[in-house]
Amino acid sequence: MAFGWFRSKDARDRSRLIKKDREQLEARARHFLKSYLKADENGKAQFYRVVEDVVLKCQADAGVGQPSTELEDEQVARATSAAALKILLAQENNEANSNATFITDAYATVAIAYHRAAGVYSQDKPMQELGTAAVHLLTMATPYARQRSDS
Amino acid sequence: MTYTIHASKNDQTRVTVRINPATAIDKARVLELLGWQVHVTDSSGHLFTPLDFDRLSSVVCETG
Repeated sequence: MAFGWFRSKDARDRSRLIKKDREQLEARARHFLKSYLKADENGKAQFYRVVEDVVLKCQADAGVGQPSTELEDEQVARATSAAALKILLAQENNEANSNATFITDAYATVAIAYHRAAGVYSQDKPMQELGTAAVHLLTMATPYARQRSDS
Repeated sequence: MTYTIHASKNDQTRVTVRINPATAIDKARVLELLGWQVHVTDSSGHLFTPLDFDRLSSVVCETG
């Protein structure tokens, strides 16, 4: 009985997050990922740079930047996604130019990637697919950033 | 063919096996995003680092 209650609470929690993400993040992340696919090699490099910077800022804001054994993966992912959403909402009101919009869209993509990693979209196929694409982009940005810091 | 995802972080290790290569890559990418060092091996003994995941995907698409 109690287990069923916890499971339904968890399902309700996920549904609430998905609804919020659809409203606040989905359009921006789709736009960002489509623009990435259309970009040439130089353009793609700009996406990697921005994504890597955004991830580092979100991890710092969430307090998960340093390796930790205390937090579970899901907690780390949810905290990073929440930090991305918080920064996005703060930035949304100050989008003075297309570059600001580009960066805000990057925050939406990062927020979706980490909710995908937390398993939030496991029961929602379109959001799961969008999240998978976002995770793919973020993991492609990592070796690029590593190369940059080595050179 | 099976695909084994090897992940390590903070002296912890995790080994997960998947039959579907796309699912294996997906799992490996999520772990990588969460700060794990990952690589994938297949049952023939090939090793794929994150830089090879696209190559593994394309091999799967060609042979699938």
